[in-house]
Amino acid sequence: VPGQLADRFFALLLKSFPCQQRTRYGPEMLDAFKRERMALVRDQGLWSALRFVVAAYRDVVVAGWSERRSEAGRPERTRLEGLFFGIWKDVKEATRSLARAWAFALVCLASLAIGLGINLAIVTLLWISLSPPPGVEVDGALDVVVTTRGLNLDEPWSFPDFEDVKRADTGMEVTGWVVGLRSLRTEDGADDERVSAMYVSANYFQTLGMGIAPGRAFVPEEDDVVGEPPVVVSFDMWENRLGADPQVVGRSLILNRTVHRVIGVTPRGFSGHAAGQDVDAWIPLWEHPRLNPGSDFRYDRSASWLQVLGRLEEGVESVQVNGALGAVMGGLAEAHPETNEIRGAQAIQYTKQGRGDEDWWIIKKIFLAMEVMALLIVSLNVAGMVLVRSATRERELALRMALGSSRLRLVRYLMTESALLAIIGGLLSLTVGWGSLRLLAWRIGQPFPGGLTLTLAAQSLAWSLVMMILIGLSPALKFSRPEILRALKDDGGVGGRRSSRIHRIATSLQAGVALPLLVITGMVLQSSQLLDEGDYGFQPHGLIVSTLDLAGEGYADEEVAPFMRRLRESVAALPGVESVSVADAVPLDYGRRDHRVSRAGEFEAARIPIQGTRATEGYFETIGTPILSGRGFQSGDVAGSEAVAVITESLAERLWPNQGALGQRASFSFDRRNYTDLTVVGIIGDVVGSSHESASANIFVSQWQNPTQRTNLVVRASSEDAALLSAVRGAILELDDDLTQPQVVTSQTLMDGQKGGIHDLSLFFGGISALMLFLAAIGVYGVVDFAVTNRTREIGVRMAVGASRSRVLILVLMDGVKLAIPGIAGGSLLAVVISQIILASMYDYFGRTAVVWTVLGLSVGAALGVVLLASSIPARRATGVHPIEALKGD
Amino acid sequence: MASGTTSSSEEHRQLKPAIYSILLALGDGEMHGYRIMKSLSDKSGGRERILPGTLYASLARMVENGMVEELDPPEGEVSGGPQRRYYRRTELGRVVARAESERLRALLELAVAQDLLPGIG
Repeated sequence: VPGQLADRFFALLLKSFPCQQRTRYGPEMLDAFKRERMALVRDQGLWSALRFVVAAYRDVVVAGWSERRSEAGRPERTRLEGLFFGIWKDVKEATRSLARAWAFALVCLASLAIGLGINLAIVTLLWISLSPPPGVEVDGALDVVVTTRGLNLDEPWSFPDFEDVKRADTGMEVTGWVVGLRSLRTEDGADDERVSAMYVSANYFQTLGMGIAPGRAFVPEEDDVVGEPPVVVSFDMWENRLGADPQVVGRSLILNRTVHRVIGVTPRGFSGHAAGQDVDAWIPLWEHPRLNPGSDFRYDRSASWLQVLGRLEEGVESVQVNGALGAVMGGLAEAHPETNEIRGAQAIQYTKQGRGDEDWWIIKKIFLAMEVMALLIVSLNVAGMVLVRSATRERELALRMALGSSRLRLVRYLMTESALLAIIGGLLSLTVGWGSLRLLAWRIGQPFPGGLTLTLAAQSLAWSLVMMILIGLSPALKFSRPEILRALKDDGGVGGRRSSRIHRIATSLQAGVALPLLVITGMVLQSSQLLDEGDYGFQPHGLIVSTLDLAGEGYADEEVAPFMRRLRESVAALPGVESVSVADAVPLDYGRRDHRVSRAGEFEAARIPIQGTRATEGYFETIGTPILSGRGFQSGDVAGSEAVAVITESLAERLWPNQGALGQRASFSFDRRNYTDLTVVGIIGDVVGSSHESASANIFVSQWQNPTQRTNLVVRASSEDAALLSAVRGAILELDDDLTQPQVVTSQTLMDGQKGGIHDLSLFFGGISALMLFLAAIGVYGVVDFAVTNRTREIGVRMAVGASRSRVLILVLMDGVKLAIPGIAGGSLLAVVISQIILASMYDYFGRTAVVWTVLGLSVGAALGVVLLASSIPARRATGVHPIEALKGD
Repeated sequence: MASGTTSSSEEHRQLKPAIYSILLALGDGEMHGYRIMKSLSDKSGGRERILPGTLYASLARMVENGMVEELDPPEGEVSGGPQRRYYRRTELGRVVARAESERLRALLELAVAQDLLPGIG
């Protein structure tokens, strides 16, 4: 194959001949080329063949051009040709000189490849996560959110409010959406599969500005109940689960026992309009169980569950929309003060990240900081190496100048070297970038994200070129200055010291730049270690959880409690099960349950943030948290009886310090609006909330008194083996075999999911900081090695007057350390600042402040260690200096 | 001497090293292009080499100037590739090669006299 490619390229180059000659001699020339190439491979090996191929390429171009020239009657080379031959010559010379200085070339190429490769991977990741899903028209798209007292608290809409906004003339089109799980059965009756469905208004795709092909989007009539509901499937589902059926439009799909008609397929890669959505099918909003005919949700303004997107109408500004929206919400507040008094709404620019975009902002900043650091390290590294090299070859340059090279010629010669390094380094960086993305994708277990785009790859190459040319330019101009060269002839070739100050600063900075990254890595590692060691106030081992979305399965509100009670009884009878309970959450499941609580009768400002969980009888025994006083939930804690709460020890201490909390009244609400007073009937040991870093001040209320549709079966078992998990799954299906394959997992699995994320994060940061340290080590090595070379004479003198080898060793090592100290000091300062910013904004991940100092200490130690290691190689060389030889040297 | 050198170099101004090499490689035989390539490197012990681009561009020029003539391939030749033209040195080609050799000999003698070629002279 490479041979064929070589022949093809030769055939291409034959085009440099005039047409007539090409037709006449072309086939024979190609034939001769081919034969000689093969003969050389056979007789003299690949290397000779390669040299022949390159020479023949050049020859055919030169001969061809010269033929064209004489045909046109132009005996002289054109300027373009002159340039070509000049560059060819420069490239050849540069290649030779780089091959001689292979260590230098290797360091530069490694720096460029690693640094720019990392940079490319980071930019690609950012680009992938920032670009909108395919097909979405971002201009004019809006996220429409509910506000409470003017604050955006991430709250969804109630259905009647949404309908009112939709009907009002606000200058925007709005569409509602909500995600749920459905079970899918294809016509041929295969097993049930879970699909993630999005219930949407009929204008969903129009609002996103998306076209659907093949097929069509929903039409307005489909906002009303129709006999055979339509479904739009994702490209991914069409390809993987529907066998890429070309006749898919019109086909029937059974979703939750209802026959749906496929009307269209979304563009490839579209799986919902927001990050993290993985939607397989879009079905009409009216199919949502909450909108069943006669359901209260259709008219209930207190139930918020619907999300809203919007699109500006032609010529309307978002300011006008927000004005109109304010007026509509004001009207609703007057008409329905009991639910809407403090409620408002806001239309904001659509972002793919949607809610929680503040977290995203921080991640973006971290990534950008890493990118800048990577670029900085590479350029410092390469700049340092180039300076050293220029300094050491002053004599060569002087010789060239003496032999009559013009200054321009010399600069061009030096620049060609830079450009050559830049191009090879840039190409290598593409490989590194691509490879590291592959590695990351493999590690996370996700498909490879889209790959490198051409633009970003070109950008990386351009970076490489610009960087190398800027870096190469200064020494090229400097050392080609005639007066310097004259000066050179006078001194003994030690003029290179001129460059070493800039170089020392550059290297010093490198050692420092790696520090913030090391600290971030340390923090991530530390937090992951805390996860393993922490005592969270419950017993994770033997805890089994199954989350059931009964609303999504078509259960009515009043059917949930009886079903869960029956389920509890049948699971309790399984061998190996010690206790069973029902709750809407378990500790460390990373669910969302932030609420507020206060003493009854206190006003709003006194409410403190806590996490609230709905639980039932046997819950605390099941999760393994001790009841310190009072009682847990009982089967009598149902709607109609006294509203009760169980709180943790630390919440009791906060609300009623030194008073005894039992029997006290607390004011609590799940929706931050309808606060009810609860009697505290029990106090339990502190138990962690939904995440590792959440505070342990928590409140528990009775699920039977606060119904919810999404609920968990919580099981305490003597083991966690697969047989038991499948027995629990079987028990659920025995009660209702139409349920979508229920997930039954251990609590450990839930925790591991989160820990896995943290491990990946630490792996990522760790890998990058290790690479950066490696680059810094190369830089330090370069400077110290250079210094040793320049000081050979001095070292020789020292040894001649009796300095021991160990003294010389320490002398050189200290040189490296002294070099690095200012950079490390600066880097530490930067690391402290960055870690404080991260701590403040990502508290969920990095809970404990105290660890930063330990981590910083370790990082500084690691950086110094690397510096010492890198200096030790030239230091060993220095101890080998022979005094007589060193003095003889000049 | 100065005038002699000038006239001789003017006479051979058009004779490029490639053409001289081809004339020598051909000798008195008939060869196709690839054979000329091989023959030159064989006869010079691998020191001289001509590459396909230069070879065919030069051959075209030499046919034009009458230094070589183009022949049809011999009966029954099987190349395993495209049909190949054969070339033979003409009388003119022989004369030109000889003149160039003379010129080079004069230069070589100079070099030998200056002891630049140890082992000769």
